[in-house]
Amino acid sequence: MQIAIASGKGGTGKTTLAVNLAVLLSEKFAGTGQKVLLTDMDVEEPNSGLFLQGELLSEEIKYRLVPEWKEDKCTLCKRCANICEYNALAFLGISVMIFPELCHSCYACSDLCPEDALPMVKHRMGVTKRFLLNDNLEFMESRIDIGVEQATPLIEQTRKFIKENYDKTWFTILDAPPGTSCPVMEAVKDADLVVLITEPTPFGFHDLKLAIDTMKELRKKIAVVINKYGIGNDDVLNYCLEKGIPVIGKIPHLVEAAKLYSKGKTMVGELPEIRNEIEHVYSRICQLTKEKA
Amino acid sequence: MKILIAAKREGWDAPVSDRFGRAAGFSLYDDETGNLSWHSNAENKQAEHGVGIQASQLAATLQADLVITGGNFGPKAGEVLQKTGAKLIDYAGDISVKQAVEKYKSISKK
Repeated sequence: MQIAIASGKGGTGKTTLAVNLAVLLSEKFAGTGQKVLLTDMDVEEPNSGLFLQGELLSEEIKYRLVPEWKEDKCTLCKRCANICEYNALAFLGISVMIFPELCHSCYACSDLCPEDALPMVKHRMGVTKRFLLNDNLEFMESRIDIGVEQATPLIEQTRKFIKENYDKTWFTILDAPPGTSCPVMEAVKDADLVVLITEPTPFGFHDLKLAIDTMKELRKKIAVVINKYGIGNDDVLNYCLEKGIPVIGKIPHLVEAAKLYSKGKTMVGELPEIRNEIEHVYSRICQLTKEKA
Repeated sequence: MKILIAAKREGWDAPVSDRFGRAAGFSLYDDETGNLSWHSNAENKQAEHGVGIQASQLAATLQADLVITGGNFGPKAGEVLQKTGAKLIDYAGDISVKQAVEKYKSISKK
């Protein structure tokens, strides 16, 4: 089972929910053989790892492929620059310039070049690390290198790594990037359920609607968790009721929670109100994905 | 000598565009003929990324010796234009295409 924790607005509690759900489930599943994987898919600013300590299991450098211009083979036909959907090539009459930061590694220029003058070469994107936190809990994060403009290719490789190395028996939790654009769409591709976490404020509500529309477009099963419950107003709750979107948790707004967060600590061991609510979120996730709680 | 001017619309009286890659189009002045020709940028300026590269590619194709914009050239456009060897004028100010040609045509001859 794979659950993605996403949001429209940033700072609504994706990491808080993802990390605390992972820790809670690891405790809950102890001795049962059920394993939990938490993955931080927000490669541009992975922060789940701030709350977790474990033993490094593996570290892998990730690459993507970008064309390289071979002057000696090129006949200056301009086909590459004409075909590129992303304006990543400039044809200057006597030479071809490549802008790796704009390249989407689609291979069109490379494959369609009649002279094989644009072979694809490796460009480093970032690093993926896996940690063992305890017997039944693993944590993985991918971190993009400074200066690399596109997050989606690294997120795609991380998603495929999970698919190939962690089968369906794992309870996989994804801490998705914020927003509604390509990175989040790529991150949630394999998820069985997308949990959208929001705060009950006008800003949270506005971006939640965008996130709901995005996930509907992707035909994803969705549920909503309201974090910092108690501030703001009831617009989120009323909207979800009206649209028939299940609200599977209301995490209370507590100063103690913010204090723990600021120290890089998890909440499920310290704050019963939050533990209970995350237990509730888990049981509703099970109902929604039609598995036993 | 050829001068390429980022412009808000076609013609001598059009204001110079303060956007380069996302200009409405480009007027090319050829001092051998004295003619001004229009190259619409309508399609390219809608692209998400790389509009400066495309505009610079146009400057290369048209073999412009001098390129003028009312604003600045982005880093990628600058990189491409440098390779073409064209002279660049940025922040040309709130002037018309005609004024730009008159003001800068002496530079392109140097």
